[in-house]
Amino acid sequence: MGRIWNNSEVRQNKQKELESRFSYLTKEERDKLLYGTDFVKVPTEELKRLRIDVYPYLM
Amino acid sequence: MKIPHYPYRFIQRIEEQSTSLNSFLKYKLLYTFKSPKSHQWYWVWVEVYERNLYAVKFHLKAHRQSPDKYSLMTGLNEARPVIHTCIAIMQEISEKDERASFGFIGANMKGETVGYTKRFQVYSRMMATYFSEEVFEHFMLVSKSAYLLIRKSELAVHPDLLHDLNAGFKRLYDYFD
Repeated sequence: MGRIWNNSEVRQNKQKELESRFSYLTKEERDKLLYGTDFVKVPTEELKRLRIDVYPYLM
Repeated sequence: MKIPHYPYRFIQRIEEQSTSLNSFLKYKLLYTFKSPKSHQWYWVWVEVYERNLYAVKFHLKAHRQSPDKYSLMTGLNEARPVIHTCIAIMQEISEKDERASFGFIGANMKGETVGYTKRFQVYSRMMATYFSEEVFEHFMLVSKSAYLLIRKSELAVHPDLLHDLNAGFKRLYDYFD
């Protein structure tokens, strides 16, 4: 498995977007998250970035 | 506080015909709800796996016969309330089963690769928003657009839980190979 993207243009665009999105991680951590074959813990920083401001409903 | 959502109801529990005592997938739960906006019915499938893992899927009832039912776009512009309703179902399950963990896959649209799909990006935001890091550990498999919310209390008791789930999915589904 690993790098599963098919279309080269789509692959490159997605890879660029992802590399940029997770640029705060070290290269090793980023590669593990983006190209690994197993589930990886979502960094707290990424969870903060993803979170929408609706805390009253937090479970 | 409960998330605002469409009223839904539980329909039935479906045992897997092919499951043996050692099977990873135990049974499925079917829920349904009707959108008051589009007047369309949705089906929500909750697949229940070993280790109290609940995988949530949904599709339009009208698409139930389609092999691409999880990938089709509805064009109804009601993704948020529909996803909120799925989250409300997850919350109900979580209240009934205090060991429950959850998972989903953000299916790819036609012409989209399976990694980091649009749906995955939307669902991930919802999970990060509505499921606290204090209760759940969040895991991603970006290359397959898969997301797991593993209950921390279960991880504490079973440190090998993530490994077991990973192995179970790989054994059951070619998708994870």
